[in-house]
Amino acid sequence: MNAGVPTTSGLLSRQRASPYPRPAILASNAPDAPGHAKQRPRPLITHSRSGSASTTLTVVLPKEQVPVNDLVQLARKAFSLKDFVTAFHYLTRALTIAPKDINLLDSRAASLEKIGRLEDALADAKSMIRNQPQNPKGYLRAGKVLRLQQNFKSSAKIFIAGAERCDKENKEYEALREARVLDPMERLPFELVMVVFDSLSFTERVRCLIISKKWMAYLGSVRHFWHSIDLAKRIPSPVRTPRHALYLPAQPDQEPNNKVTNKTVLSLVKYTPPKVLRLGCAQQVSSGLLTQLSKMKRTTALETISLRTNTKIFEQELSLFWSTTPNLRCVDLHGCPGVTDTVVNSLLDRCPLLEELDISECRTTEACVMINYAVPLRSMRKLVFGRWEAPFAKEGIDALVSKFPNLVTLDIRTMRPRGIEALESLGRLVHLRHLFTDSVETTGDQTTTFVLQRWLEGIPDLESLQMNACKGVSDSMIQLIAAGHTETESGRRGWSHSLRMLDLSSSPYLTSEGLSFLRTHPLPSLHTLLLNKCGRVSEQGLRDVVASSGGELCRLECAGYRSVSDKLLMDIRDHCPKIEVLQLANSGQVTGIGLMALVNERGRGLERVCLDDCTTVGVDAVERARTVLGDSGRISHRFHRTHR
Amino acid sequence: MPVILVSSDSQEFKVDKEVAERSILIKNMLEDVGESDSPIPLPNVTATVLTKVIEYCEHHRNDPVQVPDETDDPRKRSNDIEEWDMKFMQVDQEMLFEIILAANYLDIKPLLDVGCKTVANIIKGKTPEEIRKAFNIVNDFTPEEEAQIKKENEWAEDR
Repeated sequence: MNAGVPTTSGLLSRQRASPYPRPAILASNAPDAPGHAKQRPRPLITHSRSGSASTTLTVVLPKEQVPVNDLVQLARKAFSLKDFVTAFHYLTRALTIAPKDINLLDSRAASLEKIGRLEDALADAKSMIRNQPQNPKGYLRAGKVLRLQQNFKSSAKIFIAGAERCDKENKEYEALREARVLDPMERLPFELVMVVFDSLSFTERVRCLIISKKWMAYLGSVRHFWHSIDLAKRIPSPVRTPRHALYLPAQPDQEPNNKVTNKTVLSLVKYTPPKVLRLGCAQQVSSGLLTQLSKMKRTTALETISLRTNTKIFEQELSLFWSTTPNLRCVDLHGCPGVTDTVVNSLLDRCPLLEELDISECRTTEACVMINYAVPLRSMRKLVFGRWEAPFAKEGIDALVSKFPNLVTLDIRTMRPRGIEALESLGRLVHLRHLFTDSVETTGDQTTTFVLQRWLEGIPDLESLQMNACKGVSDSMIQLIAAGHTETESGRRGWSHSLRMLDLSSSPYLTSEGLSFLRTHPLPSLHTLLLNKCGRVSEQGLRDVVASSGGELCRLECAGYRSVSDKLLMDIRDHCPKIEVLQLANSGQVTGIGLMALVNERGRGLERVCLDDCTTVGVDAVERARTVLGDSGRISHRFHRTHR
Repeated sequence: MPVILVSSDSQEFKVDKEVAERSILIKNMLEDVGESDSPIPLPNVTATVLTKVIEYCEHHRNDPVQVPDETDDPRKRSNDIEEWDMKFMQVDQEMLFEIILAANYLDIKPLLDVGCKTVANIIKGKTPEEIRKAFNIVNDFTPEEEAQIKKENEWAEDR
């Protein structure tokens, strides 16, 4: 037994009769000394008899020696049992017999590494290099130890030196070439590392946190990486919006984002107070997060916050939160029942820089704009507002217009105004560019026309108009939009010069005649036209629209017309050079001829053509069209069991 | 008019002035030196790397000089490496870093951009384990620490 070393492994204590002679002094100290120990001249031993494990034991063995191979075997066994200290001692013994054996040195260096005695391991590795400068093993071991000592530069140098000096036939040479330090964080100066990380997205940077401590430390130290915390599943950014979706109202992000919890957010804001905090539909986040953020003083720089359909955030914490976020510009709290009138009032009071606000489907009523409507919030540009269960009266809209006089975008698709007359005062929004409504009730088309006239008088440059499913939409409305009405002093020319998006889908009283008016008074800037399922519109009307106003048309949706045939497709081919998206589902008479004609001419720009439920288009025609488009275009040709 | 460049291991390279001037450093040097024919020493660039750099400059000798655009969104830029550049950058990691460092020293911005984008592309779309393997990085987190970080950043797995 090795005196001075506690026997940690069962292997050694279980050793019984060893067939090999042991040095007498050691045998006599062993508790279970077998009777085989022979008497022999006392060996020369120098060792210190302290009880610690880090004793170095130098033993000069007597002439009857343990063969090296057995020692190596024992050392290997000890290694596998993770008893590195014992392995070290065995190997040391072996090395006294064969001090220049490179493999023994390598194994000993390995065990020293594991014990933690890196300096000694390095010494061994250096002896390996001294003894056999052509063998890569020495360099590999030395480089590995240096790396463990965090000395990367020397490590890289040794690997390179090794690669140069070793003979290339050796199979270890490949390992040497592979083992260089290639961590960009080590090799490149910090400005360049920053350039590399700048071109990654936020998520990718977060994934890099776990790579190594050095990476985490570096990433954590660069503040501007953490200014914008974007955890939402949907990644909206102006860079990624395709051209054909430019004028569509924002598609709601409804996918629940359940992996985001309070802890997640708090762990990401620790680097710097964020400017943007987008959590998507994070339904596991609770009020505690807001309180914590305020306490940690992480809210002072906050400009954008987005948290949708979250039921765990409550009124009280929300109201208090705004007092710590004076710089807020964009707030998106769609679908959070914790957002009440009190919360909205508190927000409008405390955040004078507010520009965008989405509180649709929250628990708000008219009261939130009617209180304090005399103090306008001039910075407000974009408002998404309304809850179906809470109908909005005219007074509410008036108050809204007074409160936000500089609105540019108003999305009240989720609102139920008490009739279209309630929306009359929208005409006072001089800067309005985008107006989205849905299913507005109306008593008749005259009221609607009247309201539209008010709008035309007050709003000079409307770019988007959506009035889905409104019974009041009639042919006179098209005339007004395209030609204005010359009865008033202003002699407005309608919105023909500015209108880019028009959505009058599901208008039951719109007819082809109304659309034909556009032949003489076109809408030249029209980019997006949605006219799905208007019961009284026929193909002729659509053809007139396309022929007169198709010059800039990028997105056209006219699904659900039994009369639509190849003639319309030919017109699109002829008059719409910029067309990208076509929705022609349920078109009764479209065939492969029209499809091929369109695809052959406009195929390069086409992004999507939807021909679902078009029974008259053959499958082979669709295939041919798909081959023409190659990968760039997509044609949808599915069949559902829909009823019209 | 040929210019002679000398690498750190004393190897000489003869290149056209136009090609050499893709490097702003060399351009400035030439302006200072004037019409003399003396070779330009580049003590920080070895011969193998200098060969590669010269190859790049030769191919791009006719490119317009890029005005640095401050408003350029850095996130957009990573996708558009041209095909020749991509093939050019298919070297081992060691050489990639050397090229980037040389481009930094010689002040050749387009080459520097391409190099950094290439490194970024190596990082993109890989799991942490794959990134470690690509760059030979030792994971020095304890298993508990690693598990905790992973748990905190679970959300990143889906995107």
